[in-house]
Amino acid sequence: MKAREQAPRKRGAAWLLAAAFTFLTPVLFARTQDVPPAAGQSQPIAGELIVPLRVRNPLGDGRAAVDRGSQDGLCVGDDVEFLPRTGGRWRARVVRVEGRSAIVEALDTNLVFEPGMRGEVRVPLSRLESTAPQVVTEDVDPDGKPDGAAEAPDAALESVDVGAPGAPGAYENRDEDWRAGMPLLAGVHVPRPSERRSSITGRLWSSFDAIFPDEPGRSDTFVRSGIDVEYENPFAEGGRLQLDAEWNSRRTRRADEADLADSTFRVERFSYAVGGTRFQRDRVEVGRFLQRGLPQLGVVDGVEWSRREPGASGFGVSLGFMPEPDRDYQSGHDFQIAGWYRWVSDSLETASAAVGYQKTWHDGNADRDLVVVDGHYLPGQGWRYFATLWVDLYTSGDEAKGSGAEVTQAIATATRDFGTGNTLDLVYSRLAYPELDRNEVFPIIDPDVLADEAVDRLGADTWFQLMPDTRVLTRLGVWQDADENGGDAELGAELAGLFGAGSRLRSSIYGTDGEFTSSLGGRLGLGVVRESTSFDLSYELANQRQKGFGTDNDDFLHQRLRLGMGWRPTRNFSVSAHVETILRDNLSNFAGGVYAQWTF
Amino acid sequence: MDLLTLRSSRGRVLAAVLLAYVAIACALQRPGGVAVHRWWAGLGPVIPHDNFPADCSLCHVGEGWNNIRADFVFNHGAETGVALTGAHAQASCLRCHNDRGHVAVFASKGCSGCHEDVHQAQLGTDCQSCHLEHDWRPYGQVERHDRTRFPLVGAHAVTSCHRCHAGAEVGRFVPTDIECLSCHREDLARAQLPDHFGLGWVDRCDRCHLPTTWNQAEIQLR
Repeated sequence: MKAREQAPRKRGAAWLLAAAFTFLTPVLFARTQDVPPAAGQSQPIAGELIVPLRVRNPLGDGRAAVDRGSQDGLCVGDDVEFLPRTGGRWRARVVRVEGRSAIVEALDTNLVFEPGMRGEVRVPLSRLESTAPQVVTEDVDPDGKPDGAAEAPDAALESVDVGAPGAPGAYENRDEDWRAGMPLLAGVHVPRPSERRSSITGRLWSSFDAIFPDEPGRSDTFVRSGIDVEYENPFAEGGRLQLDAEWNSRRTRRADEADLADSTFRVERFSYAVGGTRFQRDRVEVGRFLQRGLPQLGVVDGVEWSRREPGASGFGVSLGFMPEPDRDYQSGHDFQIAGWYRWVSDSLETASAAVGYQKTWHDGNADRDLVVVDGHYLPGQGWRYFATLWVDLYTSGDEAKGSGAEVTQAIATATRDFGTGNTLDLVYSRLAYPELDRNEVFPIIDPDVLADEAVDRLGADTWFQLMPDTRVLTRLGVWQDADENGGDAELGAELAGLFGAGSRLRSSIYGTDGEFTSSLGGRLGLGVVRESTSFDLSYELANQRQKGFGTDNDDFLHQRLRLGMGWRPTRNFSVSAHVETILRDNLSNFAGGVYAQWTF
Repeated sequence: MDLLTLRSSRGRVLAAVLLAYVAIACALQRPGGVAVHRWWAGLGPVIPHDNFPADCSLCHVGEGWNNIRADFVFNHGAETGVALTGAHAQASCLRCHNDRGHVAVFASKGCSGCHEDVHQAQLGTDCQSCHLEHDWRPYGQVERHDRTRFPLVGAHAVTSCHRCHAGAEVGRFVPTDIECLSCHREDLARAQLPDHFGLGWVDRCDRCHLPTTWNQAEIQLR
């Protein structure tokens, strides 16, 4: 019964609701015309449309990218008012427009753009009568009048090529890794070398240095200028042409003798390399270059071929003449062949081990048999290890050394970063003289020294972040050679920001027990680095004691004062200079230099 | 094979050809590119774009993906947690992000991950103990020598590196013998008052001479 009585009531309520909807809808619709538009909606007023917008990306230098463009009616020169949450209305002007974005430039220097900052721009309705999208990319003077409106509707439509190489609008699937059934964004087309542009980067540099020792009438001056150029992809096959050359001049003035002057031009690198990328696992380099597989094998005038295996391991061989590693870099006396293999644990090269062998001939006679072992272990956390060994293999023909193997050089480092600025570095090094016919050991070594001398050193450096702006440095080292042993120690602190942002005040005390001399002294330094300038002032005071002298003539006081300055007026140009004086007893030395570098 | 020095006429010709080549290559460089970052398609879309804004035109301009806006700015430190300082701040992105390997692999190796070790691994892996990031000019060599068996004392502290390290200009510093005669053989030959050779004083200069000057000799009677 109740169900039968409730049915007519429901039907009545439904009729009332329908009637109310019918009559009230026009009223409600009319009412909504008076409500301010929600964010993101445009509002027409007196022949203009108020287009709300937001900052998408601050670009620096008072510029920002906004999320409205020519398709929303914006033109170059339009004024934009920004309404930051902190209050106020700030003006900016549109300086560049594209389809769905624009660049604005603040007219008020106090305006700081933030992502998401709201703003609005008034767009004439007449401008929107043309629905064509615009691409206007000319910069204008922000104080100038809007002129984009005149150019925009018709100019414009140089459509942006988004990857369709054929007819306009045609689409060609170039995602070679994509197959039917895969997710839409499975892969992208990677430009091949033939699709890439060539590029030249490098630097030009020049330096001048002078030394004025306390010897009357004597001075040394050095002028060096050089160029490093890397020409990428010159032949559209992904190669690299590299040139590194230097002109070098020295002059020594002497009081009672003729001046010594010399200049030379040296090419340290001139090579072309191709391969070694995801497209070419084989890599070949020809010319004069530092061997890439194992740099311990040195520079060659020749060719190196290497292959990278899928697991990132690799191997290679090289042959060529080895320039003598001095100023003249003469080549032609030493011929070498070498081969190497490098094992790599994973694609991130967490662990790596390599072994290489090099055979050399000096003026046609067999000279060096060198084995190089190299490795690293670089886990994401904890200790990091590097190690490399040079092992010379001698035969009975090597008179000083005799037949056998000798570790002539070794370097092993273990580094631990404990976070928050605390680090510990341990270094072990060994250095002996290999017996070579090649001119590599400078200068002439006494045969006894060649046979027996070896220097081993163990060092430990720590940085400890005592406070957020204070670091403590400790260094300890011990060494031993065939005749003596000694060591060094240093304890210092570095305070950041004491003299303003970018400043660092350093102080330390140190002691050294060397082969001929021992020193005990302290250093004080102040460095300031600004955005485009820097300077560093340091002072050193030490007592240096000459071993083996009488007590009345073995100590002398050493002072060193150095001022360095740097200036980087543009991103591509920098100049640095330094002056330095060393004072001891009644003698003084001066040195100074200037260095300029332009990168391109 | 002395071609690569200017000691021969052929060397001079080769040098002239090289310079001409570089000049022509510069002149023929294709126009375009971007002054700020010099971005080019290079080795493909290898920089992760996962969290970039959806509006490509915020960064890209022109045809294809090769050109970046001239006013493009990217705060590498804020966006990635790895601040780029010194010369790195102006390096083109693809110098590090390229398909020669994952950038994390290069970064984990430190400087030598990207930069060739011109010292041929002989000086260890801590490049920053001698070099800053603005340029490669070394600094702090006197301090560094205090951590060796041959601290630079007296006149040695203002002596050009190459006087002892003949390979210094090409990055080679070891091995170097610290015996006096290794560098001062000519001084010994000139030492006539008194006649060092005649007296048999042909080694261990440090027994009589201080490292400040040859004139402050003290004869040790042992």
